[in-house]
Amino acid sequence: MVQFSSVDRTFAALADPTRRAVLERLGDGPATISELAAPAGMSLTGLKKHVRILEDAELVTTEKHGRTRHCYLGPRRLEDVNDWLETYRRGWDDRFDRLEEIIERKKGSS
Amino acid sequence: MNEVHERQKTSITTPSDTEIRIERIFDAPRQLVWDAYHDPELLPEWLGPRELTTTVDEFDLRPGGSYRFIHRSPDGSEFVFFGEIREVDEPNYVVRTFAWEGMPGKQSVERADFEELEDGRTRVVIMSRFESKEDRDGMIESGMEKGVNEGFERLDELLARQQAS
Repeated sequence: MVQFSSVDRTFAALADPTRRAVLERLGDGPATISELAAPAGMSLTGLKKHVRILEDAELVTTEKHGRTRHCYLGPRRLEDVNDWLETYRRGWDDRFDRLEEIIERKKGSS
Repeated sequence: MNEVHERQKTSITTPSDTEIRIERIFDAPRQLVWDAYHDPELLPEWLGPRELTTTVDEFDLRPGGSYRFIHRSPDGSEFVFFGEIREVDEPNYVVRTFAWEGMPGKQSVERADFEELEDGRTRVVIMSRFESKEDRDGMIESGMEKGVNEGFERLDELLARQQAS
């Protein structure tokens, strides 16, 4: 179950355009908080909040160098197809459970 | 984890890089499963993720016929799926194209087989074939139904870039 909650956290982290933009930017190389804040038109404080959410999801790691914080892509990559597949499977399982209820209903009435 | 897996009824496998295979056995005769599966009035009850409201715009189950359905989230986001029916052989199988407006220009071909088992149950197998591994993975990811109320327009690009790096 730990696995699923980390997938949920990943998706919650990705469900925001600013955070997706941060990840895209970091795909090109590390950046400081202020370098990330400028194109997003955000305050440093606002951007830090987004970075913290990405950090919690392990999509980003940060390191402090003197007074500036450098951000990198984190250890968690999204290539673990098994995670995706399991969530996809659960979605279908849930759909088919409902279809099964319909079928049971029809069985009863026929 | 094992306990959970044992009582799960739907299995999903990836027979190749461009395919997804979904299988489920229903405890009912084939014709009944077929009818329930293809009844446009019943589709909204099961077709979409539970959190979303599903509307069937069009569902013309004959070769060349088209279908279109819309999942709406409580915040008003819409996910529109559509395609064309290519083959229908009731109650054996249906072949149709499947596209999502969130991935323009991409479509998969989906074949649903309904197989009558000796014990009176029915095996449903949905085999989806995509044009590339990226398309397939994008579709699996778009099927993520938890915690996301926004469109995924850019997510597939993002994922492709992350995987490449």
